[in-house]
Amino acid sequence: MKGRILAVDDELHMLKLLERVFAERTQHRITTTNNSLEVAGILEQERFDIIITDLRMPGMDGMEILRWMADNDRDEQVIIITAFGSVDSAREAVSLGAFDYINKPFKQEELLFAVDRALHFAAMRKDFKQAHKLFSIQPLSKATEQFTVTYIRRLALTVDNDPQVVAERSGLNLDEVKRLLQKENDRKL
Amino acid sequence: MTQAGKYSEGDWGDGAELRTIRDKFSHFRRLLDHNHQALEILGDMEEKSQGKYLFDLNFIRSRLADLRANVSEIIRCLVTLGGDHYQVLQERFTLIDDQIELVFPSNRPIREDAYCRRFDTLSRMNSYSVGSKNAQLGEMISKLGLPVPAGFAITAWAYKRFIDSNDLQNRISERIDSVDIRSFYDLVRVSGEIVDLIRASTVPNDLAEAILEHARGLTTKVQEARFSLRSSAIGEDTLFSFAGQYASYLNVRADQLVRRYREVLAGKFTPQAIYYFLSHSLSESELAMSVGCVAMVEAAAAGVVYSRDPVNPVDDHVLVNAVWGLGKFLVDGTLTPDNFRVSRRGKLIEAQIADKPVQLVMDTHGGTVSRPVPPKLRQKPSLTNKQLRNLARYAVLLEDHYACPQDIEWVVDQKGKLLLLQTRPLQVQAIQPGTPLPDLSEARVLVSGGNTVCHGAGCGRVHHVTSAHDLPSVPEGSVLVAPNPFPGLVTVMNKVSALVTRVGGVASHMATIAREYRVPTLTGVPDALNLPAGEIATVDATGAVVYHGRLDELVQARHPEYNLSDEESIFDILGRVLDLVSPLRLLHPEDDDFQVENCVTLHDITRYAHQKATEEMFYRATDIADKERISLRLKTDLPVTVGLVYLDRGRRASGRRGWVKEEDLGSIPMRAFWNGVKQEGWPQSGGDEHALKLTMKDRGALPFSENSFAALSEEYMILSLRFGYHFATVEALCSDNINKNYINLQFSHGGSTFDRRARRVRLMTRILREMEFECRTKGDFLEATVSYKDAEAMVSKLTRLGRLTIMTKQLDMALSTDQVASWYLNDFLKRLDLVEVPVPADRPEKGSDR
Repeated sequence: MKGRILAVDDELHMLKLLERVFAERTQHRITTTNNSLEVAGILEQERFDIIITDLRMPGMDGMEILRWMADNDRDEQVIIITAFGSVDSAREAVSLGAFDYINKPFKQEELLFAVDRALHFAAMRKDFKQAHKLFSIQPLSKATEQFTVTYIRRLALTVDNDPQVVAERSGLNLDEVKRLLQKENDRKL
Repeated sequence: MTQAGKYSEGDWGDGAELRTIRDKFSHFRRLLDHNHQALEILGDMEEKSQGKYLFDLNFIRSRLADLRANVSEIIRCLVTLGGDHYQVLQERFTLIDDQIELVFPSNRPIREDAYCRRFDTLSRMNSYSVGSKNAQLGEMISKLGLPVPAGFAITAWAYKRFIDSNDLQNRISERIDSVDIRSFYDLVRVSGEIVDLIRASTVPNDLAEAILEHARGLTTKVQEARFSLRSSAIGEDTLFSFAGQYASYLNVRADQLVRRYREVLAGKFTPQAIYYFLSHSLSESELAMSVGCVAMVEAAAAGVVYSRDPVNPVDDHVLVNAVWGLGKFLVDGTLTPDNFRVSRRGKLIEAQIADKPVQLVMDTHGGTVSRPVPPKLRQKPSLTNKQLRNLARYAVLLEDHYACPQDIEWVVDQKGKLLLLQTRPLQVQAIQPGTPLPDLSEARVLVSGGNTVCHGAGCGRVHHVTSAHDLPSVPEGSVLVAPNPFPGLVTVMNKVSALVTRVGGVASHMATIAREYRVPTLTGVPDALNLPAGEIATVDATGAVVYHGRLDELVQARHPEYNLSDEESIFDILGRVLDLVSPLRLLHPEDDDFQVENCVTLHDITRYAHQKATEEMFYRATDIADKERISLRLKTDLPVTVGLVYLDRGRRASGRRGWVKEEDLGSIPMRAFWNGVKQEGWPQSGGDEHALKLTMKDRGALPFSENSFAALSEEYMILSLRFGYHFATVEALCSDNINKNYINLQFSHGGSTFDRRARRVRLMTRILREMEFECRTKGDFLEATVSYKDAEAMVSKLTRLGRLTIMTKQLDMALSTDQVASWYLNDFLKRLDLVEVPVPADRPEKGSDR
């Protein structure tokens, strides 16, 4: 799974290490900043899957980032990195919505594992939100229509968006498949 | 002996003597405790340096603080145990600590020093007291004999005197804590408040007198003499660059010196500086201020020499920027300077002579004043070829001396003599060669030309500023355009995507900060102010062109690769700290060089202290009474010496002539352990043969053992065991009360490389776990504990432990690969009747483990 990661730490050294680890060992794309005051600006311009942030920083600290995320209804999963021995504040961060916390210093694997779990969690949450939305559509005919669109789109993703194959596998006729995929594209635009 | 005197008083009946021994023993235990903690920290730091972990500067800082605390305690315990002559170890520690401080500045308390120190009494080792700037001036005089103006440093200790006598620390901290770092106005407000506080304070008389006395020492005619005062912050220019953040005063009369000194201290708290150290998580107590005072040089010309081109370090040229008069107009970006490129041997390669309409000169009434340059000089080079040659020579010399590129300030006096004012590491950057550029033939050029101050390209909306007042409104991500690189720009450095100025060279304070923040920056662009405000532009700082519109591909292509001093990774930093902390030079107490003065790392100090403490505890004790009672030895066929002290026996319990037979050991745990040692026997051949050969070959013929010691009672044992290069401490209580019983094993050291030692620790851990020990390891340090077992189980574990100790003696030498290690693991588990691990492995080929 490819993820987009934003890393925030006031220490450039740590950011460089993170950049290196993700570049060498994963497919994830990482953006970094050592100025936490930039975080809001960056998030307003761009969406990420995961935010990795130091807890104690000048400017906006990890807790404030979490609050900002909650206030702005953001979906990014936050992994907090804390200095040795501040487990209590890390727990507080989790109660504020952080996905996980990691104590510094930490092994590369620890972080990569946390990122992996966070990505899976984010994907599940997205599915769940979508299903929840689907179930609240009324009347049933509209919900069914929306379900079919989603169904076709997901199927299309697994077969290189080939309408012919989608039609064969779904049992719908080709024109119908094309119409539904077109509708999805229109919605995107 | 005098060192034992502390313990030689009083009645030497059984009771008093035992009290003394127990008292000593408790100090000894404390020392062991701290020693173990120190070794654990060392192991931890070594482990983190291996690359599998991610950590930050704070980790190094806090581990160092813990380590220092433990080493201090070890020394204190040793002094209590053995007497004041061990204070030399403290001096040694201070010396090593000073070197660590140079590599990794920390927030140590300010150390006592004179209020003022002449430059020629200083070297770079004094930077903790006089700041880097002053210390390097001292180094240039005392170590390199380079021309530097006469002067002295007002130390950090003087700063502390000033702060304390006015009770300023708390009042300043309160205000800094209240800053909203996001608000420029708030920074300005707090800065103003603190400056007022300092101005309203008094420089205490003793300090004021010390300053004046030293000033009088610089000149014969103090009435007419003029001085300059410059800040030299502690910790400046090391891991963090603080260029141009602090005030300095030129052309100061003697009677104004003290007042100006206070102004320099006040100048530490500019909005920029407060922003800088808040955004770097530094606390202001970490940044005590030293001030340099030098006899003023009436400058004909002044400037900066870089021992390498900061934006093209591989081209091997020395870069000189120069202006007429004092250098301030160059570093604050008022003037575009003359720009000379000189070969490392001093040959002029290229000269760009700028028009220099004004110069800064000394005012007759004090201070400085801007004067027009005489017309015939405006376009003349401000340096002669000979001066350029000398500058290049100095620059190369300094780069060699410090082993990194240098940024040097200089001045030429009215007689043409060159003087150096400052040197510090130069931040350099390089772009990756061969980055393909996009096709730019269609792109519209807005302006071009100028000096590349920081590589890269950035795009955004053009935004013009002319002074610090415009800065709060600078939008995020803009291309900032300014008439000159004024210092206030640093506050918006992390907001802008590129910087362009009309005036300025490669060398200014702002340029240094721009490189640090990696903002693509061009200076000296003649038409910069014509850039259309509000339009999107792309600044190609590397190519010295500004294009219309957003050219993302260009920005991507220009993305710089940073290297050299700028790219020092945290592993390098930890590595340099570890060099002063971890390697063990003192290996063997019987070597001639096992001396305090040969302690070069903190590890050496703990090793030395541990050895001496053991001797104090077990040898020296023999001086206070007759040896027969206390200096008991274990009588054994094995080639080891084990000293014994009984904690629960009085006079009667001695063995005759100081020897205790193995069967008379008396102590349950010691007997159990020693039975294991005996059972295994001293290695003759087989498993350890290769290891021993290695030892003899690599280390010369050394005895296999040195003195080991045990303090014993019926149910208790603490055994300090030295076999070869490693040592182990085994402490055990073996009684009828199951709740009290425990065995604690601590194990470290070794003569071979870290990975081999670590392999041995891993191997031992596996075996000890099979024996129900709980193990904790940090690098090559192992601690294992088992408790709550009945006496019988304890005895059997201790016997196995004794066997294991012999089996693994010097094994680290042999553990060249994991495969070898797993062969040994199997073998040992089998021999100890523990579960066999299913790893089928033949004995590895001889030689494959070399």
